[in-house]
Amino acid sequence: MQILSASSLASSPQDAVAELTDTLPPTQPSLAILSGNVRMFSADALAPLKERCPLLMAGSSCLGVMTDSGLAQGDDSGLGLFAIYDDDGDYGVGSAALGDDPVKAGADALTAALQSADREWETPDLIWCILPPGSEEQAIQGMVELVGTSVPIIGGSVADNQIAGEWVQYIDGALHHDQVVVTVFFPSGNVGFSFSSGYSPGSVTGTVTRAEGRTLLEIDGEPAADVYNRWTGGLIEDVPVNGNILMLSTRNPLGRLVNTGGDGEGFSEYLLSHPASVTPERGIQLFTEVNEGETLHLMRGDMDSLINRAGRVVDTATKLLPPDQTAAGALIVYCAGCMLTVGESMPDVVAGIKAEFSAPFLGVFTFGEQGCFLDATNRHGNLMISAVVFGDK
Amino acid sequence: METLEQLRESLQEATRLKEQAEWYRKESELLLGSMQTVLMADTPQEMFAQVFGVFKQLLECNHCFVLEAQKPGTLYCSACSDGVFSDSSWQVGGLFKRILQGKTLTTFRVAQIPEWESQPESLRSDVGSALYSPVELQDQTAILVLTSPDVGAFSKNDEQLVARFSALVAQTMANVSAKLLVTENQKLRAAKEKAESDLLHAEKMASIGQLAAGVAHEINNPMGFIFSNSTMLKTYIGDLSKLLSALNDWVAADSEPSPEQLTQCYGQLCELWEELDVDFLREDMQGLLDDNQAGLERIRDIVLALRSFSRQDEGTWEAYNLNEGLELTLKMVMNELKYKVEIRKDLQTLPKIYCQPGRLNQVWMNMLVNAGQAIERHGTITIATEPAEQGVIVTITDTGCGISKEDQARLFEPFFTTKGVGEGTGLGLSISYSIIEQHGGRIEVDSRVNEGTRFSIYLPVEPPEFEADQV
Ligand SMILES: Nc1ncnc2c1ncn2[C@@H]1O[C@H](COP(=O)(O)OP(=O)(O)OP(=O)(O)O)[C@@H](O)[C@H]1O
Ligand SMILES: [Mg+2]
Repeated sequence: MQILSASSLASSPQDAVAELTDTLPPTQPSLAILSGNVRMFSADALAPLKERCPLLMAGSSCLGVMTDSGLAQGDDSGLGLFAIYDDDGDYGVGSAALGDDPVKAGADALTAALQSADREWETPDLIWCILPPGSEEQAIQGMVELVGTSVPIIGGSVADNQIAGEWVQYIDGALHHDQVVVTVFFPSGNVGFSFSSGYSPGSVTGTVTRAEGRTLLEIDGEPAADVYNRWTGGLIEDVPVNGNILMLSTRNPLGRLVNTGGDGEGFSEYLLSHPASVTPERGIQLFTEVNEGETLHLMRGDMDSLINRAGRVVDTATKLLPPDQTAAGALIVYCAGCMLTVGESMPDVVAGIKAEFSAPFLGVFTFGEQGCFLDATNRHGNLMISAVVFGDK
Repeated sequence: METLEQLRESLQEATRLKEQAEWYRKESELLLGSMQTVLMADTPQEMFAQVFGVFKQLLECNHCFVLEAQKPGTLYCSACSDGVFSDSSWQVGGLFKRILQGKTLTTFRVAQIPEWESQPESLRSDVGSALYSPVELQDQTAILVLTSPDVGAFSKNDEQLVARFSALVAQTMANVSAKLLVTENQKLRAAKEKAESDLLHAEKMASIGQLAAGVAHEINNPMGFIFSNSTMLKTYIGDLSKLLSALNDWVAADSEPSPEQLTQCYGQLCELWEELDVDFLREDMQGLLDDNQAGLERIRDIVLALRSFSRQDEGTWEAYNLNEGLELTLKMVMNELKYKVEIRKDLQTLPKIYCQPGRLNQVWMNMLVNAGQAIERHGTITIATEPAEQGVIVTITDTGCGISKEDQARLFEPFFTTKGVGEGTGLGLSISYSIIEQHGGRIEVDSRVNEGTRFSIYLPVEPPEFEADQV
């Protein structure tokens, strides 16, 4: 197995695609994953890439990408490619429109991907997905119902630059914004993966007393925005109705304890929800679902850990490869919210990854992250970092 | 100083690594622990029973069983942890083919998989997902199957554990087989002795049989038209003698014919001439005779070619390049093979060996015909030669149906055949065996059901002294 990565900051999509394809050897890769700034997505510009890489998964990422050659980010530019050459492995890409049944779409996209890999019945080593933000939980549920719980499902939700719903996916020559896109991996080597949220729970907790899907309406019988404001010492005091609080709340998301680590000796894990905006009825709009009756913890994270996390997650994933395999490359999902908060210091994040990992990688910035927790359960959450490392036999 | 978040992160990392390490430890312990019990097994069945026990301890599976090759395209369950699948028979489809080619894999859901669809409902009802691993047994690749009532029950870790276990099983199997092999060899030797004692008789039958079978078709054609031509000629000769006897009447008459009589006679002859169409008759007779001549020449050529091919009449010993004989034989059988078989040749430069070329050609002929017959639809036959220590090695490999272990033991017995009545005499290999032996050589077979067969023949440059003396 050989993995190549490339990125471009060219300002026209045509030029960017040409720069990326120029770095590829003449043979077709077994699989290519393309990600980048939504402005780079033009069906015409991407057509030559699709020709060079027939098995292609492509979706947008907030403001650009990061690779082993650095950040490729800009208001209107930033495109990255991750190409796997693996004659002894099998790969497949499939998609299905969300429609009004995201559970079914999850299962259908996965079935299509398995058929595309010509491994219709076989359990893949890894499912990688790019989902439109909104109903990731259901799409994942559909996949789990099909193949069971033993396959790690990892990925990130496609993102645009302004949370304006402009995110895109490029599938078979056309742009979409509402598809479940799934890649199945049957690589010749192993995959190591890790999934982390570097936040710790504070002492403040409350119970969800009213919620509708992704809207948290009341905590302990009070409007959620008021409770959250009090908990955080007036963090969103001056935010108007419908105001965006993503940046403000990045260091204080809400967490739910999902895995107590068995008999209390293990590691307890929290699933994070990122507050996005304040609703007219003083509820809080989140990027994940919450359910009535669940206990919410106010979580805390600091800047340093946001910067250092990525390198550590990749390092852990690498260590999980069998001892006789070396890392050929890595895919990294980095929460767009964290990326925006880290801002100017993003080059430090890349440097942190490179300090731990010497093979090519592609990192995408997403509006929601899907990953496999320590209890081997695949979940959708926010403000997290996933890494998948591919081993070479 | 690490922050609280970093501590949590370190702890999380440590937890993942610890889990992985614990899995490895559990796996190694079990592999080591079970190795002992497995190694004690005396028969494959006993060994599998032990293996099943280990798996049930290690993974959450409700059934474990082993599928072995039965006949081409079919596997049957030769051992099962709880008897549920015992003796069930399975079609080899795309999935099983991949496993037989060496891949351990899991299917997350058995519903709709062709291999499982062919099983009765009662067998499928409590199977959600399954894990399969190829196990190299001595003469074939078997498939080890573990099932779970749940969909998607087996993980990548489970898969790798079972793959490692299969490797152990294969090793153990080699041990168990070593014990069994002693018995097997005795059987083989007995079979060979019987074959030898039958050989004189068999050989006579075979030379007639082979000659007849091989030549009949070729000779039949010219023979056919020579026969029908002769029948024609007989009629023609009958006609001509009518004309002649009419003439004879006049020639034999005592007195000079009167001019009137002459005119009458001339008229009669002309009539007869017309009636018998003697002009045509003469022409046609010439044609028939020419055809017969050509047919007879063809038959003579065939007989000559046959004699030079088999040299059976002489059985002369000479220094000979085996590659030549192989090429020659290949030409003879090519017509039959070319539609379904791709022939690959890897003929290396060989030293000449002292042998009876015609008799060895008989061996190659039989091997190639067998290989061709073993390939049902499409396959490859590889003919390879290479110099060896004081001799040469010829291998003929096919991708045909293979030979079961039981049949391998009887392969060289005279009259042992699996072919239908009229298709095979079952003498080919027994004769080949004796020919090779007369040349001081050895023949070995290596075959796997559903995968293919390889015959390897070693022939020394100089045959043993006494053999040469006998000639
Ligand atoms: N290459 C082969 N692949 C599979 N089976 C084979 C092969 N060669 C021999 N056999 C098996 O061995 C049996 C004996 O072969 P042998 O050549 O002695 O007799 P035969 O081919 O059946 O008859 P004959 O050669 O007289 O026409 C065959 O019937 C067949 O079952
Ligand atoms: Mg034969």
